[in-house]
Amino acid sequence: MLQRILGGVLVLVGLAAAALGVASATVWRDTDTVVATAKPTGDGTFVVTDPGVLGLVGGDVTVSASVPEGQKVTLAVGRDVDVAGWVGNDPYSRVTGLTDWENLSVTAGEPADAETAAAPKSGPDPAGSDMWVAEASDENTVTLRWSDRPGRWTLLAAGVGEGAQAPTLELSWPRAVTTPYLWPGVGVGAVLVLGGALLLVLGGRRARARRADLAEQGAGDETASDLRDDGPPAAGLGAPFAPVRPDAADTAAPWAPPATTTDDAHDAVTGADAPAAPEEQERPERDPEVDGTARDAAAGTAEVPLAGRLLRRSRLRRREDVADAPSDPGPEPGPADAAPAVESPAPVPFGAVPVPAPAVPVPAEAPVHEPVPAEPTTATGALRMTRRELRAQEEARRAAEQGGMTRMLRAITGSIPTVRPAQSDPASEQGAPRPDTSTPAGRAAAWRATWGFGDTSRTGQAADPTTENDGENR
Amino acid sequence: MNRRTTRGTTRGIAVASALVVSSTLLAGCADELPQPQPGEAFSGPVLTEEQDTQVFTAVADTVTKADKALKGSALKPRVTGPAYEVRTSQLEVAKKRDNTEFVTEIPSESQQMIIPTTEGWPRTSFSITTSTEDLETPRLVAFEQESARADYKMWSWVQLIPGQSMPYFADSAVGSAAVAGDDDSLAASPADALAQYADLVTLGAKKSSFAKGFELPDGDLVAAVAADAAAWKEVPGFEESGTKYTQKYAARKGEVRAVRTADGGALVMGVLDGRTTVEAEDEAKVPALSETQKALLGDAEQTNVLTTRYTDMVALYVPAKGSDEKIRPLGYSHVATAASN
Repeated sequence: MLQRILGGVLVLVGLAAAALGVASATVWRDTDTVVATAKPTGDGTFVVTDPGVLGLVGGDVTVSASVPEGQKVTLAVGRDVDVAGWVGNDPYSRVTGLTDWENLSVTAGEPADAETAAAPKSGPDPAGSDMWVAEASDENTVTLRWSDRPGRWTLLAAGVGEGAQAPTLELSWPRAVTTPYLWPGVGVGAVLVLGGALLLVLGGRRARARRADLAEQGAGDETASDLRDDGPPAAGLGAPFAPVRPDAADTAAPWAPPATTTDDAHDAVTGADAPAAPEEQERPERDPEVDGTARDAAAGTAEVPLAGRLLRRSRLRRREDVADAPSDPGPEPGPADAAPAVESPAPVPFGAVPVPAPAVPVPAEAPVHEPVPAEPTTATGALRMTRRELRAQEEARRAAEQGGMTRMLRAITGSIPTVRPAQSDPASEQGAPRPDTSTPAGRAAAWRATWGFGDTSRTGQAADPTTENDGENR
Repeated sequence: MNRRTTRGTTRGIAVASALVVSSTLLAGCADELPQPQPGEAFSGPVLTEEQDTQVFTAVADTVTKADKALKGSALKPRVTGPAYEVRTSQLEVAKKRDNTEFVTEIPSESQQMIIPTTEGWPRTSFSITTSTEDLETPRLVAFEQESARADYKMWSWVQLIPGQSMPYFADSAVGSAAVAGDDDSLAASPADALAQYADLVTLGAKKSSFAKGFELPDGDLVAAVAADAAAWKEVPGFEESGTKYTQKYAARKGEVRAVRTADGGALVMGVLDGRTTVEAEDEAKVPALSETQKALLGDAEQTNVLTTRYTDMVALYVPAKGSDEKIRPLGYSHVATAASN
C-alpha cells in the first residue's frame, strides 16, 4: 500500500515538476526586453548616466529621451571624462543604476565646482561635439542605439534651448532569456514519473501476490470482518462460501436469502400482492440509498467468491427452470410453487437454506419488466435484504473505501477505468430473467442479468480477486 | 504499513515536493538587479582615428569655404590662435591682390595622426597631411580643443622642411602625452627651445650662442629670414644710402604646444613674432619689397621707414635630456601679417 502511495506521489510530483519546467519556459518566461525609465530630479537640463549603466542589462541598449512638446533634445555618448567635462559645473541628474526592473535610480549630480554652479537660462546643446562617439538630436523625442564597448562610456541627455527641461530617459535592453528549468524540470519529472510508475507496478504485483497467499492459507476460516477490512475477498475454491455480506455474516447459512426476498421471488412478484409488500416497502428505502448510489459509484463490482459463483450457477439453472415452468404450463400454480420445488434438490450447502417462500404467489403473467409500482403497505421488521441489495450495499461500502488516494492511484495506474460505465437500464435488468434461454448467448445474458453482471464492464485482471468475476464474464 | 505511517509518509512527501516546487519558483523569480560595472578608466587617446579624421575634415571644409569666399571671419568656427591670425591675413592679402597664390594650401588628407591622451583641457592633437598637389612638402597641423564644450580648431600649421625626418610618435590607438611648456625632461623646455630658436633666427647661426644646441637644416626659418635680409641688401643703393635693416624675432609667450615623441623627446610648436625694419635716409622712400608687403601697405604713402611684422609658426623637435641629438627645426610658416611705414 505504502509503495503504491509513494509511487503515486512520485508520479504526481514528477508531472508537477515537468509542468513547472514547461511553465518556466512558457508562461513564466521573462520578457525579451527590459525597459527602465529615469525621471530627472532637481535643476539642470542634463541627465548623465554613470559608467556601466548603458551596459547594465545587455550590451545593446536603445536609449530614448523625451522632453515636453516643442523642445529639442539631444542624446550623446562619450567617455566619462568628456561628458563630465562637457557638463562642467552645470547641475545635472545622475542615473546611478536600477532601483527595480522598471525604474532607474536618479540622484542630483554634484557639480565639480558647486560655488559657480547655477542653472543656465537656456539648455546648451551637446550636439556636434567632436568628442561624442554617438549622438542623436531631434524635437520632443529622440532615440539612440548603443552597443556597449570596453571603457567607461557615459550617456548625456540634454534638453536644449530656452526653458529647456532635463529629458526623461528610457533605456531598453534586449535580454537573452534562458529557460534553465525547462529540461531539468522535464527530465526530473520524467524520472519521477517513471520511478513512480515502477513503484506502482511493483506494489500492485506484491499486493496481488500477498492476497493470493492469503487466500490459499486462509480460505477455510475467512470471516466477513476480514473481507471488510481488507476489501478483496480471499475466496479459494476450497471455501464453501465467501460470505461477503455483512448481514449475511451472522447467519448460519450466509448465502441463504430470506424466503420472501430472493431475487427469484422478487423477479417473480408482480402487482401488489400481500407477500410482496415487505419487499416493495423496502425498495423505496433502499433503492436511492444503496442501489442507486452504490451502483453509480462503484458499478457493480460485488464480490462473488468462486464457490458462491458455482453455486449461483446452479441457482441460475434452477431459475431458468422456474422461468420456463410458468411460461409453459400457462396459468398454473406458477413459479411460486415451482421455485421451492426446484430449489429443494439444490446442492448440499443449500440444504439449510430456507426455501423461498411458497407464500409468494406469482401470477401467470409473471414476467413483468417494470419494477413494482407499489406503495408500501405493511412495515416489516426483520426483513433480509435481497442479494442484489446486499451486493449494492457492499459496492457502496467499497466505493466509499476507495475514495481519495486509492481511487486516484487506481485511476493513474489504470487498474480500473476512471469513468465507470453508466448503470444499465433497470428495465433491461428486470427483464433479464426472461430472455430467450434457448441459445447460449441468451442464457449467458440471463445469467449476467440475474447476478448483476450485466452492468459490470470492468476490465480488471482475472487474477485480481476483486475482479475475478469479470474474468469469467468476459 | 498502517494508516498512520502512510499518512506520515504522504505528508513528508507533500512537504518535500512543496519545497521543491517553491524553490524552483523562487529561483525563477529572484533575478538579482544588475549593478553598473564601470569599465576600466580610459587611458588611451581622447579621440579615435575616425573622430580625428572627422575633425580634420571639418577644419578642411571650413578653411576651403573661407578660402573661396576670401573671408577670414568664416574661419572662426574651426580655426584659432596663430593659424587664424595668419590665415586671415593671407586671405586679406589675397583679396587685395585678387590672387590666392600666397594662401597656404593645406591638404585635407592626413597621413599621420598624433592624438593626445590629455584628460583635461585644452587638448591638442597633431596631424601630418599628405603632400600638396604641386608636390609641396606635407604640412604639420595642430588642432586644439580649448574647453570641453569647444570644437577642435586648427591652431597652427607649418610646412615641413624638405629632407627633415619626422620623429616617431606613438600609435594613434595608444595616444601621445602632451608636454607642458616648461617640461624639464627635455634637452630644453619647449618654451626655452622656442626662445633659443628665435634668438637663432634673429642673429643667425653664426652669431647666436644657441647655435651649437641646434642642428639646422638647409632651408629652415633661419635661412629664410637671412634670405629676406639679403634680399634687402641686394636692393640697388641699399648700402650706399646708409639704409639700416634690423630684424627681431621672439617666441610668443604662452603660445607653445608640445607632444611627446616615441623616443622621449617632444614635438614643439610655437609662434615667433618677427619684426623687420628698413630705415633709409630721411628723404628716401622705401618701397615694399614683396607683393605681400605691397598688399599689406595698400595705398599708404611710401616713407623712409618700412616695418614688416611676421607671424611665424614653427615646429621643433626637442630631444630628451641626455640625448646625443640636437634640437631640430621640422617646419615653419613665415608669413608677413602686417606692414607699416
